Amino acid sequence: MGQKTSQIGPALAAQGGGFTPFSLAEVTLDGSVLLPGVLNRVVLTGSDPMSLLMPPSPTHNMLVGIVVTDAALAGSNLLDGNGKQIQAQGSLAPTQQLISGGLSPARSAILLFDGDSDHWIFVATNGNIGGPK
Amino acid sequence: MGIKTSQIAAAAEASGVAGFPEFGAAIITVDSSVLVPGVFSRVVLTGSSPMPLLMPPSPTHGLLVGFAVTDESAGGGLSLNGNGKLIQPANQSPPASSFALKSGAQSGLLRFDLASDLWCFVSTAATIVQPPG
Repeated sequence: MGQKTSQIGPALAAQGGGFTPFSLAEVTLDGSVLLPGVLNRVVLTGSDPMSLLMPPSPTHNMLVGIVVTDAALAGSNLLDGNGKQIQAQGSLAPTQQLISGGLSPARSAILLFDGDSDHWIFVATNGNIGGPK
Repeated sequence: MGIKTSQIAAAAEASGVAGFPEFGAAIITVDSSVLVPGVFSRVVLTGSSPMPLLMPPSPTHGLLVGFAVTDESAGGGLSLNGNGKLIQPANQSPPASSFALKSGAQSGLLRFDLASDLWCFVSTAATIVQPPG
């Protein structure tokens, strides 16, 4: 029996539509632990920075995303590796990284955990690409 | 009749909407390596600044290529070469055959658009700053 398109659509939607889905719950408290596998929806608390914790004991290729849903309120996010380092900008990987508004206030990021190097790596966030060389 | 997970995965892959890419199995350690499509190629800096990397040759529409530097603390930039195709840069810059990437935990995700015949950045990580103090 073949597979109907109408079956595939809802099934994919249940999985997040083929891309990283939003979390069901919203993160509304300082020091919250982010959920793996989703884009955590973050509502700013008013703390600047608002602290967020990566999931503990991550496994290779674990994905964690964040999206601030009320970035118009301003304020930054402080991402804590929760025992693991987070790769920094051309320097040693500290345990915490500050994600500032930068050029785009809609702050978002996706990180993957690399088991070989034993740290979190930003694979997407708001940023720039250098000019032609 | 229910729908099997294997059917969903196959359908998602066939439709090009499979989930967010993971790290590739191999680690790139040599200048001028060709990036692997469909994954985030993990890159260990060689000491060359910039370290040249090549996009896959003869890309097809929608081909996805990612990369992530796993030892950003070593410093040094990357030079991404379109390997025969142009790469679309940041806003207000013309497409070029080669780009240097700077400032940030270097990572990027690109797709090839056949209609415009060039690689487009769909995400990157460049504006990440360490917390004060």
